[in-house]
Amino acid sequence: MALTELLTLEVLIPWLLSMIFGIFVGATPGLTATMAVALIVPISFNLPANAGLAMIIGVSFTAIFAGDIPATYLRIPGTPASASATLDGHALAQQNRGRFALILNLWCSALGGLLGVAALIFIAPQLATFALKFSNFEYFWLAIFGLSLSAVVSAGHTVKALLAAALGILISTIGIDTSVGTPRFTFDSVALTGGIQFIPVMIGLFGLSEVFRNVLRKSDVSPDAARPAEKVSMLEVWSTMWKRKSTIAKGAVTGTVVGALPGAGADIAAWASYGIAQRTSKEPDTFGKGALDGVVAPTSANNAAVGGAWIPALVFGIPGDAVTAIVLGALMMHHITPGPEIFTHHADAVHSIFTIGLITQVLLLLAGYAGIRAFGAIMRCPRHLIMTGVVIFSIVGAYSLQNRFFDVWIMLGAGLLGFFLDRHGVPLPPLILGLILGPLAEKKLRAGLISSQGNLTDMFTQPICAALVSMLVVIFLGPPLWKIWKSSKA
Amino acid sequence: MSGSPLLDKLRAYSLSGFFVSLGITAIILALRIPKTGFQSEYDPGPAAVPALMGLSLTLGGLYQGLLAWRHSETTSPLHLKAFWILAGGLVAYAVAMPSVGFALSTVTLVTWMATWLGSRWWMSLLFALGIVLLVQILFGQLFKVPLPQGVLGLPF
Amino acid sequence: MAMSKALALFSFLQLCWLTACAPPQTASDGSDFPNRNLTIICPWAAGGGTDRVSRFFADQLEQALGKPTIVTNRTGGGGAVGHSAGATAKPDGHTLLMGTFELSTMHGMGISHLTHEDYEPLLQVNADAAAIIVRSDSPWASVGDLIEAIKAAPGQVKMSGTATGGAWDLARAGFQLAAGLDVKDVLWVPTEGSAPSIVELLGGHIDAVCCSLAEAASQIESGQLRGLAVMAEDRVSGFDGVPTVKEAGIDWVAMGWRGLLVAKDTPAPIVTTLRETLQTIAESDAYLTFMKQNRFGHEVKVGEAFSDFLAAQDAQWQKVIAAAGYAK
Repeated sequence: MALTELLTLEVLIPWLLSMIFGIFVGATPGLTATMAVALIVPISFNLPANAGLAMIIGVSFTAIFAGDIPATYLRIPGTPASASATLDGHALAQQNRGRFALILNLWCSALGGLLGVAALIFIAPQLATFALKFSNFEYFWLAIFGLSLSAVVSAGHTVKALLAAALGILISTIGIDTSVGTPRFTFDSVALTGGIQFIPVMIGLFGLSEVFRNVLRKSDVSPDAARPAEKVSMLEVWSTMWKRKSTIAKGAVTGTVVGALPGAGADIAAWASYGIAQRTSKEPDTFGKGALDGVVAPTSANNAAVGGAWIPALVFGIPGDAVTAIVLGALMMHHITPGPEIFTHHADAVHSIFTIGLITQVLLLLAGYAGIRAFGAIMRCPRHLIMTGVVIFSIVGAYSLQNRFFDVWIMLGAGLLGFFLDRHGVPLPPLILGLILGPLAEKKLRAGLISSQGNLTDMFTQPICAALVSMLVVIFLGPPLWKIWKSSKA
Repeated sequence: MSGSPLLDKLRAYSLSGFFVSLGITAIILALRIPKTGFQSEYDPGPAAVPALMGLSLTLGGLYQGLLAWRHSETTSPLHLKAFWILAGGLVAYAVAMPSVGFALSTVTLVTWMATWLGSRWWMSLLFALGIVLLVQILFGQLFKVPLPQGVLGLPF
Repeated sequence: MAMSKALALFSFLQLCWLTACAPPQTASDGSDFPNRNLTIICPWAAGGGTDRVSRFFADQLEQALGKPTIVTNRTGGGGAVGHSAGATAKPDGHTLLMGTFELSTMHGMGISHLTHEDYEPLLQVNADAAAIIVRSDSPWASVGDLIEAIKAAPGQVKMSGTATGGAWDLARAGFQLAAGLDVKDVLWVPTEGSAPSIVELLGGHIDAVCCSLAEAASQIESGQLRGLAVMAEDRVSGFDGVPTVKEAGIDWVAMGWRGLLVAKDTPAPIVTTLRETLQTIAESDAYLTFMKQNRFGHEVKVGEAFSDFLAAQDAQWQKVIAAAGYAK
């Protein structure tokens, strides 16, 4: 059925409009993909079921890509999943290759999304069953694996990177402890009991500190520092992708698997993929300085993760992230009960989701181009006006997260901190890794210790734990050992 | 401002000083986190991770201090004046917005900042009005974020 | 340069001046209510059950009162942040709070100083009883089997549902006390809520979950999970196959609730307007359908009845917290 019913104007127009809306929301720092979906859902209820579903799925994929646009041009991640685009994507933009990086990014996003949906179609039950095997210690090791990437994104300053990660973890412990409900570092302030949200920290750390850096080197913001327009050849984009097909494949697989884990999401998927790409690259030193692999790897992973999150959602009715949680609610309202039987009992609904997921990737190319063009036009404004605009959007973005000024102050504080650390050569991405993964590592370690009644051997002997630990060892000790072995042979 | 040897010294040790003082504060505060009666005996408790991070920051900070002492790592001096002016402007903006309202405070800040960075004042003012309009349409209408209204009682 | 400095100074002075002037107040005897946008504060994240109920009421209030009504998610601190924002909002009726179960427990747990007395309760809109939920292939056929298993191996049966000391943990603690068991006879593994607990249960990492039947509806309806018993006075409609713990001879009821509240000192005429409008919404067919589709329990108590319910809840949970040894 699906295809002919979907390719009608009544469906296509709201679908494409919602995706353009997704571009705006995703590109605005402070507004996440979840927010985009939450805003679309009430509108979608007034439309036929297919159109509503198409809008929701469309908006979730677009918002994740759109987050990479400001990350690349301005070094401000639009969504948490796009923080890694501030590394190589932004480095390319500084070499006046931003448009190329983004178009490459867009195509890899669509391809990653396609592979994620393909996994949903073909191996959902198997992957979902695998995801259920993850319990506390498994998630703990996954978080440790992510945290160890601090060393990968450290640009040679390993100790400083670890310090930044420790600082991130420390900041993440502020607020009510999620395991036993004890207040930590709250100084009797109600706002602090909620902890430090990492989105305002991210905006301040990257966005605002970048404005400070630019303003202090006044030459960069003087009205006549505009750059010549950049020409991008599609042939170059496609040949770049062809040369990096293994990176795309690795990214998509990482993204799908991590996305399918109910306790992890697109943000962790992007970082894991970046780390794996760097560690298995022949030129690991180019990462962070504008390596094309560094653009391709995280972006194929984060969109694949969006598809991956649908796997436990459909198979077990478990939301993989807040976006699928909202969609599950919507499905229940349409009397579609997710669960192992959904593939037989509600085959029609499942096929619509599959088809919508696939067509969305094509529409993503359209909406994404529009977004890149619009943003590119903004980037031709004089630099000092852009910097002023960045300040306003950083503040409004932080405010709009929960409509309160507390987050604005956190953002301003993070901006000063980021500026200070940056000046002293401390890499900032590890701080974000600490903020995202610190709580996961702590919570899961403690729950694991309680659940196993202090049995530490389980931590290493459970099959998935053992696999993750060996992966950690191979990835970090492998390259140096390989070097020693090779030099001893020579 | 780069001439004073004392300032150079301070700058060289500021990073290590920052981490060490933060680390020690974290350890002290972590040890004061209250214990709950119902915590499982296998749970390392809410204070364990903060204390461990405090310790890491202290040790890492000391190591940075050692490096600074041996190599006297130098950072180039800054136009700190510009930094404080901008930081002060942003703080004033955030303080004023709840009572003044989003529209008026933003027009003021943008006009000032763009002019300060080198554009003509009337151009800055036009730009400021444009930004306020854009934010109002995007956030106020499309994203349904209630922006502070303030004295004028404008719809935004 | 001089020009820009002068401008900077001017702007700053202008800001100071404007800050000094207090914003004009509208007279609020309630005659002009509502005179601006309304906000419903939801203390939990977008996409969850409380958020969905909040958005339904926002939509209906907007139609009834003719002013845009926005849902703001103020999350964190185990609900403390959102509940506090509701209590400290300007008491003019324009900011409503979708309060939850945690309001009855969190001051006892030392997470917050807030109690129901810091609000003017409008009306209760939902009640979902706590339930014990197991995998379909679980060896336990009844709550009696579970109690036998706990007695046979104290501290070995693993359960979850929230953090340690969270709402559903207190519900199962009260249940154990009523059944003559010690609180520590069950190993409670902390998680962030019912959704991650259900994942752990499906994966076979824990033995049972304590949460509402609505939260596990899709897994129960698809046959992966099964409700063992529900801690309510009567069986829950829509889940008629699940017996109450009272039927097994255990005298215990644990209710999760949601309800709308406004800050203390909101003028009485405004409170009355809001109560009347909200009651019409809560008793409408649209709301009944919405609650049924989401499997939420429909329970409406207005004004005094809601206040009395909140006071009774407070007393019940204080007792459990003390008896379980959870008090700080």
